[in-house]
Amino acid sequence: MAGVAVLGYFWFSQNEAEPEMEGTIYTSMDDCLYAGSDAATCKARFDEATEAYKKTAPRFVSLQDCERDFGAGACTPANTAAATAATLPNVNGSSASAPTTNSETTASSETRSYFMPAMMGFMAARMMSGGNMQQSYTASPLYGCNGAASGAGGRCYTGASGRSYYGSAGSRTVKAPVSEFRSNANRSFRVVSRGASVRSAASPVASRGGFGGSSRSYSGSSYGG
Amino acid sequence: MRRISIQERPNWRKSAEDSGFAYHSMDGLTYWDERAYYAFTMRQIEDDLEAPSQEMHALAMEVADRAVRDEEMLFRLAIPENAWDTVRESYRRGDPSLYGRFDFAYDGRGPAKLLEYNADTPTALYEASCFQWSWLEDLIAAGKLPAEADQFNSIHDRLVAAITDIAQGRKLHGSCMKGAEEDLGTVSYVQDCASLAGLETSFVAVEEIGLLQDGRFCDASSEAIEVLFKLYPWEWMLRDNYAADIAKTETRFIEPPWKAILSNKGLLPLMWDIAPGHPNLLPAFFEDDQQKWQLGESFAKKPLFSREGANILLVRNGTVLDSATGSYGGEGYIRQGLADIPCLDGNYPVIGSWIIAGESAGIGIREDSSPITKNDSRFVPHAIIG
Repeated sequence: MAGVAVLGYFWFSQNEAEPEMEGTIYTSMDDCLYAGSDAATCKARFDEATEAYKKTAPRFVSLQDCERDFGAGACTPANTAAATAATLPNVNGSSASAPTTNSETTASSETRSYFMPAMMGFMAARMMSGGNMQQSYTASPLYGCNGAASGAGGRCYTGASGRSYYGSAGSRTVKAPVSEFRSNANRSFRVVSRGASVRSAASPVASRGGFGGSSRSYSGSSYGG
Repeated sequence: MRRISIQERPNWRKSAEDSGFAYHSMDGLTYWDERAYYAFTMRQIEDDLEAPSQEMHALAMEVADRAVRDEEMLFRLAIPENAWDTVRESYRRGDPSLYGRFDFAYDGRGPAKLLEYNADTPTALYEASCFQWSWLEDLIAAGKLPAEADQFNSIHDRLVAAITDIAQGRKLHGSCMKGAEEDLGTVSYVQDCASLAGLETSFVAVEEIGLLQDGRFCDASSEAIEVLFKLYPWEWMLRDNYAADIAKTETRFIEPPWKAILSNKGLLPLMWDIAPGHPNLLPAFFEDDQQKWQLGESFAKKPLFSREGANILLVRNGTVLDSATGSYGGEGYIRQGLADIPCLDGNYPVIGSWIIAGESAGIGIREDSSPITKNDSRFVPHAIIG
């Protein structure tokens, strides 16, 4: 379902208590084209989001933990996810798919199976850096969103940073607080992603304080050399 | 190479503190010292420092490669036997290294001589990467140095790039001992570099690191640590209570465990063993090796583990030249040929040459009023002129 895509612009103001970020969500390449961008631009953003997805989408040992964060039906086995990475159907039913690589073959290759949130779409954010009118775009993947019946806020998506975005009814303009970017005010910033960490069910602490004991006979302002 | 007196910038202490460089003076003693600078020619930098640094790095990596296949080398390096698997596995996994600092004796003429390698917890990083660079820019802008003056220094940019590669988007925790103010400055700087790379970071004191039931280490709020930058040496980590938990953990360390092979002075006799007579090496032997008598009555005796010159003894022609107190030596000593550290204006400079992600990246100079570089030595900037 392609909606009306409204291209908002981002600005970051240090005067606002809770500055907001605006951007556009695309659930398909068609959304992007419909919004008026050309095919090359849409493909570039799609590819950028897909690359980010492959590198940084969170992986879970259990399906339940993944769905707890991203919603029922939002998750998929990682090898399947890698194989169909960011295959978003467009209106005609054909798929715009990115070249797939199996990102599961890492250096520490034990064959474990993980679950990952599927890529539900991508977000393109246009921002102005600093006080000048320089604009840059960044595209990032979007996942499903658990709980949060959206109501007037529209459909919920989870961005790569874990933050939730809501598309308001009838448009794709989304707003989300961006206080985490406060320190980046003068730089063009990109969505910070959490990396491919494997999140097992929260692990209790077994002990603490097992480092530092060997330094007993030394003290100073530096333990380096 | 020349040592040239120059005027200090007005308000340099304030700009140091503003940029977080609070340890510019320690306990009232000068540390950052810009009353002079060292001037090099480009040829001296490229031929006498940059290229030899790269070569010494390659030779050190050769030692590491042999040591993971040779348990006698691991034994000589005083790595505890129950840590051998941790060290070997880290090497085989290819755990990436961020940095290390070679210390050279160099007088501008002869080949630079390697004194030692700080491969695990090198200090004076921020001074070398950022503060001496802004010193150079300020002096050029003020017309005190020629506009074409340069510096052997691409440390900062390489650090940011290397941290990006190593972290792979994961969060980075920085860690040092409580009360180690100078180390906190270095850790904060590395965390800043990580932030510039777009990473999340936070700090945990070494003493507060905990262990989760799934084997990952965690910080004070029990959040799992994925990547730990630690200013705390491997010889202590491998002897602490958590030593046994390091092999199985998913937490990755900067520097990685295999650096334990390179981070003690036993590296020096092992390098000499592979490349005896190399122009950039001083002859070196383990103290219980009878070959040490080749050094005759002039030598440096150094504990395998020590920092800031502690427990080092310098003897020339049978007479003690310099010595430093400390509490090291329990694991043994090496004996090394005596280097001719030049004396310029009453100061003995040691060239710290940085290897960032395996590449020679720049130098920082510390000078002392005695031939042993101790904790109260001063950092002096340099420039390439001519």
